[in-house]
Amino acid sequence: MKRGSGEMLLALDELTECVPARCSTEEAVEEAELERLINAFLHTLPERDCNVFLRRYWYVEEYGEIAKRYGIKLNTVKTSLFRTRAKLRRYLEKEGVVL
Amino acid sequence: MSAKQENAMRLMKALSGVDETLLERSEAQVGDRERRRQRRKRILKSGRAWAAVVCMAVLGVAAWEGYQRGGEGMESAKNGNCSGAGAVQMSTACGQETAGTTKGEASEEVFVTESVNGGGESNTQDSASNIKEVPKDETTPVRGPDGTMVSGAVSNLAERLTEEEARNREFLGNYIPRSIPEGYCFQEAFWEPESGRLFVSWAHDMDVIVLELWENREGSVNVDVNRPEMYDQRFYEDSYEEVPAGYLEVFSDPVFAWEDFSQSVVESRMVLQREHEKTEDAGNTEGAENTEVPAGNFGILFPEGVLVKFRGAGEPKQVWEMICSMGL
Repeated sequence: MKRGSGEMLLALDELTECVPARCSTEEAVEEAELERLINAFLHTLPERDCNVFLRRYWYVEEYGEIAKRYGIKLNTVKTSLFRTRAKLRRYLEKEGVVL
Repeated sequence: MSAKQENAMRLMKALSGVDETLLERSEAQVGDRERRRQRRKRILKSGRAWAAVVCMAVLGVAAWEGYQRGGEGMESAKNGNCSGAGAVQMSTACGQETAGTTKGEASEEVFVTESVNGGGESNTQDSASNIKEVPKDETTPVRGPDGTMVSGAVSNLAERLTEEEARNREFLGNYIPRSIPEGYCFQEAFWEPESGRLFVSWAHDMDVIVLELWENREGSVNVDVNRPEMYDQRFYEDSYEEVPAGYLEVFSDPVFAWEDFSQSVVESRMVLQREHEKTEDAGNTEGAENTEVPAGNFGILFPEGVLVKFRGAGEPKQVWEMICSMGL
């Protein structure tokens, strides 16, 4: 599936919030392990939060598009993403992921 | 590209391996979801209507039994000596919600809000209480037992709202939680135009949950979450005596940044209140046992600049779930 491009840098900026501090473990986690962890994390999310997260960071859609798609308010999209990013950061830290 | 952006790129790459099922699920359009939601809403609404019918039936039976016993039963209920008094209160609260109380509708409730650290909240209903009854309409401020304005009360310019009206308020309405601790029923809501404050409360027996919400309150955070001495009720044996003077103001009304907030912060603020601390407010100094449900207060500043202040009782896990259901 095609991933967005125009919003890529902005989306990357937002994802920096998920990057845990480098000090929790000594070993870097391999990419495959990171992929597995993120998949596992996504399965723990409520359906709507997971969908919103994927629309933003997989499809790189704009907030407005996501809000329209799911018939929710723009602020709801923003809040959902904010919380999911915070959750992901905590999850990765808990799993000992150092990026 | 900065180091953080490179790491974000790694996360983005890792997302490439997302399950196809999740991607397909995210393709769902508003139509399907909206239909499901509307159906759930209809079921919920009809359920509420039935709950109101049951509540009214219970009230009717109670009143009839009281009448048959020559007033003996009703007297007992009035004095709050039987568990039925709590049930009546709940029923009334639920009934109001279901019936959709309209603006200006007369209410016999007296609702008192005070800082938990200053003595907790109390909610009295009709005559089933020792507190003097003060009738209230939409232009009457919430008053304490002595008739004076109490901290946290709404102003006399506040507009009374139904729960639906409160939830439909632009922007702030989104922050009224979807998940309320078990057993609580909507009690009342106000919009205070001069301060831009939305005020909502729920009640369960004698316990109350109060939320106050404001917009554009950036800069309200006053607590460093890494310094428990500033906010953790468990940090002190007796918080009334031991909290250093420099922290008193923050300790009694801490506001946390959402990103620092967690269930453990809720736990740090929700503690069992000794019974005498509650009853003293009502002029009754007897009893000194712990209440069954923890109570406390705290504020949260959400990233969009919305400040939510919580006061009330509830199990920390349920209160945390309630907080998580805000802004969705």
